[in-house]
Amino acid sequence: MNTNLLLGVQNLSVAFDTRHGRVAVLDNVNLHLHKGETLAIVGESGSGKSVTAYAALGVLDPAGKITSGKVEFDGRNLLELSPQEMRKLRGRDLAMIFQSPRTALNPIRKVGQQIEDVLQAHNPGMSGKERKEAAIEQLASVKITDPARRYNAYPYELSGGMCQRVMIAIALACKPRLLIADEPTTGLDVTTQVVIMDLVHELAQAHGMATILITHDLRLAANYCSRVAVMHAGQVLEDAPIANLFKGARHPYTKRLIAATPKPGITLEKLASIPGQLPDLRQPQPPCRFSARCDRCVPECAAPGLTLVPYSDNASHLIACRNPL
Amino acid sequence: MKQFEEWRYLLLQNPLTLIALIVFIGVVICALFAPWLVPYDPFASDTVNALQPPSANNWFGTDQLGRDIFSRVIMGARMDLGIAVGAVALAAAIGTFLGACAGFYGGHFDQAVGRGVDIIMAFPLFVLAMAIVAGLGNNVINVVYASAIINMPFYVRVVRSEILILKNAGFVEAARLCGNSNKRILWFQLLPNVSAPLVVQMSLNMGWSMLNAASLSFVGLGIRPPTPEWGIMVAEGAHYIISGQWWVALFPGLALTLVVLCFNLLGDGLRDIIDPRRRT
Amino acid sequence: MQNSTFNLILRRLIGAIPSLFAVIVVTFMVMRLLPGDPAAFFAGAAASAEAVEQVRHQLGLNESLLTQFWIYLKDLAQGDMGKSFTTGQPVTHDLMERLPASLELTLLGLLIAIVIGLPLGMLAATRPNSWIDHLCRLLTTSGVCLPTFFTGLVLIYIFYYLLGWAPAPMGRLDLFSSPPQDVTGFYLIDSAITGEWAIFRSALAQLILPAITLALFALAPLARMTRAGMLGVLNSDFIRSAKAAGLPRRVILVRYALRNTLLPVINTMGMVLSYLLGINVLVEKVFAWPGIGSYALEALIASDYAPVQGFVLSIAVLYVLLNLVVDLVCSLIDPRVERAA
Ligand SMILES: Nc1ncnc2c1ncn2[C@@H]1O[C@H](COP(=O)(O)OP(=O)(O)OP(=O)(O)O)[C@@H](O)[C@H]1O
Ligand SMILES: [Mg+2]
Repeated sequence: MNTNLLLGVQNLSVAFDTRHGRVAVLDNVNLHLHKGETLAIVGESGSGKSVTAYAALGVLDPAGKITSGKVEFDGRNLLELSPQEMRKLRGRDLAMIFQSPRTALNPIRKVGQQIEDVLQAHNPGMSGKERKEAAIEQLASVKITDPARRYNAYPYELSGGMCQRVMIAIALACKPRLLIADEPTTGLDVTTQVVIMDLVHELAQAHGMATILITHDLRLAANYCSRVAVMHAGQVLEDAPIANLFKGARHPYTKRLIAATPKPGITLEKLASIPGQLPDLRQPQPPCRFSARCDRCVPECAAPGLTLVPYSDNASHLIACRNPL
Repeated sequence: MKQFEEWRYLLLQNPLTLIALIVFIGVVICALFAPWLVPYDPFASDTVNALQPPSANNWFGTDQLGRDIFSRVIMGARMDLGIAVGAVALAAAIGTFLGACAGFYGGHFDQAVGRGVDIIMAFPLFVLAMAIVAGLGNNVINVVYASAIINMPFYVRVVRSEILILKNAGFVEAARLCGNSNKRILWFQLLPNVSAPLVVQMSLNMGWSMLNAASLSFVGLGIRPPTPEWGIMVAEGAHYIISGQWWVALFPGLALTLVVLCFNLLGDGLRDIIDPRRRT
Repeated sequence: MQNSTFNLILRRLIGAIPSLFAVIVVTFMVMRLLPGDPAAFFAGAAASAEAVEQVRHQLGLNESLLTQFWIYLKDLAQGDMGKSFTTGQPVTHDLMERLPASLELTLLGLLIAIVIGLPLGMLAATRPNSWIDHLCRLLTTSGVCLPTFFTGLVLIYIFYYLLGWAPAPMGRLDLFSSPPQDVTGFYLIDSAITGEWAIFRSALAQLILPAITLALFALAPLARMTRAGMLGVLNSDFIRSAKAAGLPRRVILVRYALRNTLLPVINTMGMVLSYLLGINVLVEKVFAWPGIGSYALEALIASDYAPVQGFVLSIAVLYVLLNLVVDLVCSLIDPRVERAA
């Protein structure tokens, strides 16, 4: 239909087999992303943001099973590809930056070699010398000073920010078309956060790369993305352009999330918090997993078949709520 | 009552542990009541019937002196089990005391204990045990001491690290504010919390101690013939293996293997029950 | 680069000195604990009163403990560990003569254990709950329960008595072969160097059962540690990011997972070595292996204590040195260790 569509996640459900039985972590997640677009996925810790990204990339833990759904990338359903084909796509067309840069790098391999490993996996024709040059160039492109020397560094010798730059260099080594950045700035100090985010943004723009930014910080999403998908307990509750969302959030959860975001001039006491906590997914859940925490809950909320639908006539503002604001 | 329910549930979840527990109880009964359980006098030789294969009369056959191997295997449970229990108890008592003091008071004492442990661990432990028995004198009680010494480092380490963790937990401060002395805190507040890892360590150690004791007597240290003991019996049977009389060595060897296996399974099971985090 | 490796080796060697010294002190103390009159023991059972007195004087037993220790150290520095009255030779000479036999056996056993244990643990970790995982668990649980002396006898019974595949368990060579020219003292290597393949075959045939006996025991801790380590590594973040970067499975398993798994495995290798060196004594007795273990046992039975001390000391020194090698290998694999040192 839409030739501009790069990634379409449809009704994706993921369950984990745990000691306490099967836990349905993702429930019919729907996401879409156009070429060159930047989308933010926002939600509390534990809402399934990372799991969504892992499932799309096919790097879930062995305990995780995709129970239904489709992940379409450029018109192909990734879930039906052979492991070989999927491997070739990963790193070359789809790349990911991870939450904790320190542990996401192999601790006993030089960072330059780790970049080379990716180059080697996707460009078998490259000679060793070319690879090394390309790796150093890649380090330079993420603004690491003295890249030829840093090529020989081990992750433990680098700061967290530096490690994250290396991660970015690895992710962008093959100029992917889609970059998923999973909370790329957690664990970094505020100034480094800004520098890293600017770097990601700049490089994404330069390559015309579509980006998914996973974060729990709405302000970060507002600064760098054009659209936001709000997740809660494994469900996408609202999906709207950033301006619409801040002007008129329609889902009660989004409203509270915005109210809970620190802003200049608001003291901590005045900052609203979201009542209750994420539901225990080991228990059976109602169709709307937010209903237990929601003050606008109505009897219809218990009816099955909750889906993301356009709010009134605005096709770009999607919402999954029976009693929207 | 609730505790009991939980244990029952956990044991049924781990059938291997349950089996090991049953075998263990059986071995303890053998060891305690051996003299009344055996069909023949384990010392009575009968040279006419020497080296007879297993039969209805002698279930495990007879050895080179015509003694009933079944009776000797049953009696043998006493020696190895006794040595292992003695060694582990001694090692646990001294090791816990040293480890607890080292962890709690720190400083020079801690360093000295650490050095001592390092020195023991600088030897291959079985060779150290051999040397100690050779040095102290070749008898059973010295085997117990030697086994205790080579087991001790493990207890010192376990207890010391646990105490170090507990020491910084809030309730020590709370106890001190309530006016408890250091000594009271250590022995009455901290030590009971160490008992779980200690029990696990002990049951894992038992099998190893039995192997050590049997190995020492196999090479001629500690227990002497004609005492029925599994290591010695295997050593005696070794002479007859190459002429095909397998039963002399096989049954005591199997008994030893079985008991050690059962201790290890029990230890693993206990660890899973007490400390689910360290499951492998 | 080379210079830093050399520095590292030097640092580790210096670091091992305290352990070596402790080992010497303990061995000395054990000697002093001997019941009865050490002089009488050292002089031998049949010695006359003057001979005993002379030995007492020689050993400096009339001096203070500290002086005695000093004498002991001085003798050791000259490679003098006393004399064995059963063989009539200096203990050092006897030990040096038999050490290669023990080492060849131990190292081959370790090699077999590594060659089987590491892949087994790795495969078990990559395929949880498959048959290979169950096999691995069975081996690791039962392996540590088998009394080595008993396993050795069972192997002899099956492969020598029943099947006739293995030669009689009577030392390093069959009766018709003579030792190869002495280069390293390892028969396998020496005969391979000189190309005497008949001797090589004979030596290997004699070695195989005792080496397997040792390996069966060492296999268990090795496979267990490899499996646990590999499981931990496979669950770590950097494996996920390597997968997300599209690295081939083989590269992930070997270059990323295996090397990280090897670290803890090599680190705990000291424990395996401790077992192996101890167990070696038992295996040497079972297979009539002319190594230092059976030498010490014979001396022990004959109350000939100088060889026993020599044996304990040399095994302990060997252990310290092997641990040193393990340490070095570790720091060569792991760049982080070097900086910490
Ligand atoms: N291997 C696993 N086994 C069982 N449950 C898992 C596993 N991995 C994730 N989960 C569950 O999936 C849910 C979502 O986890 P996820 O890591 O996606 O959260 P998140 O939104 O990324 O949170 P954060 O902001 O902390 O990264 C959590 O409730 C977690 O408990
Ligand atoms: Mg996450």
